[in-house]
Amino acid sequence: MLSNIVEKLAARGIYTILDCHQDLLSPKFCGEGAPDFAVQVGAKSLPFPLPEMLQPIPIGVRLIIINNDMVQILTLDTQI
Amino acid sequence: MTECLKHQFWHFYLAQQTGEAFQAIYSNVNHAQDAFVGFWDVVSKYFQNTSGVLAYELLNEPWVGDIFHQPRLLEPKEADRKNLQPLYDRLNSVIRSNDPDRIIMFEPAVIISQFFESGLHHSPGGETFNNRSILSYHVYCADFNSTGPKSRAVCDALDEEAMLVRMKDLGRLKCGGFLSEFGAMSNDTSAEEEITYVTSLADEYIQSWTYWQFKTYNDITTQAYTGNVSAESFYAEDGSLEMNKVKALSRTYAPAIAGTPTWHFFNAHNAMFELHYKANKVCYKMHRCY
Repeated sequence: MLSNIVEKLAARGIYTILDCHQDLLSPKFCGEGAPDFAVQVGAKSLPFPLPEMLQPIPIGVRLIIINNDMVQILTLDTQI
Repeated sequence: MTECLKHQFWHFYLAQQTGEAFQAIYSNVNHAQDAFVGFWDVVSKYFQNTSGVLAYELLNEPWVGDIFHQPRLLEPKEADRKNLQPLYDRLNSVIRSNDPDRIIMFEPAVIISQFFESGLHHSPGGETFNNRSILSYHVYCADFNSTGPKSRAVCDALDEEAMLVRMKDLGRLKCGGFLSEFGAMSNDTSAEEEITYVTSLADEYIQSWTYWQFKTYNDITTQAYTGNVSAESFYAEDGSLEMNKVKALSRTYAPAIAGTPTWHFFNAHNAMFELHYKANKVCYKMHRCY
């Protein structure tokens, strides 16, 4: 139980931050956080993980261009 | 799972479905926001009398939302204004109805926002709650490899800039500040230097901090590895402590000060600690040092 952990830590002088932690919200998106029922996507959206270009980027410069409500994401692979 | 780990986890934030699921919380699609508010209602009722809880952190690293239908959300301030501020205000009123005095921690939207001021206009619920609100933020140097930062000069500059931006936010919001994540690195000397640099910055601005992370807990977004073992925690695979990291994190500080601190300094090389504060004449309690 979470409260049990909080009590044990408090007994040793340690405070707890209850952090609603998440990364990528759901295992459906390779992350964690929300239960499955809370993560619903519309029928019209692209299959996961589209449209991201999934190549590894060591340290990248990512240019995001917004023009007439179109989004263009350019990735430049550059080493600093 | 294997497919997931082929990529750095943050790439998946640019998938359309990820953004849409976040937006469902912000725009209450299928009552997703109602469910999230209900979650905090239950948690704050349950813990309302638990003194060991320092704070509730509303939502870690909130993604900006559905950038494909609302491209303007790519502008960090826009996501804060449009998606997060209303959600935080609503969460504040529910939590305060159960637990009026607990600290609430809230984070700006995370995208390239580490270098842009937040668009959040006020503490959750408004400035009345400034004395119980803390801006939570993370500082990570993007220029790193599997052991730690590649260049001290680059990370010094990036870390300092990230910190300065949050100090500007605090100047505007007039609430507390907490560096709630940094680090996530190996036991290498370069990682130790990064810890010392970032914690010294936190001291300079008299900010609280917590290191990411204590133990791994099989988190698949924890991705710095040494061999097959996550390197971000300060426990090695055999359960032993990674002493370089632990030593760098062991810094003298004042958990309680009988006044207002003006200078908080720790020298990691010779362990000298210096604290200046304006004494509070009403408060006669001794301050404490760790």
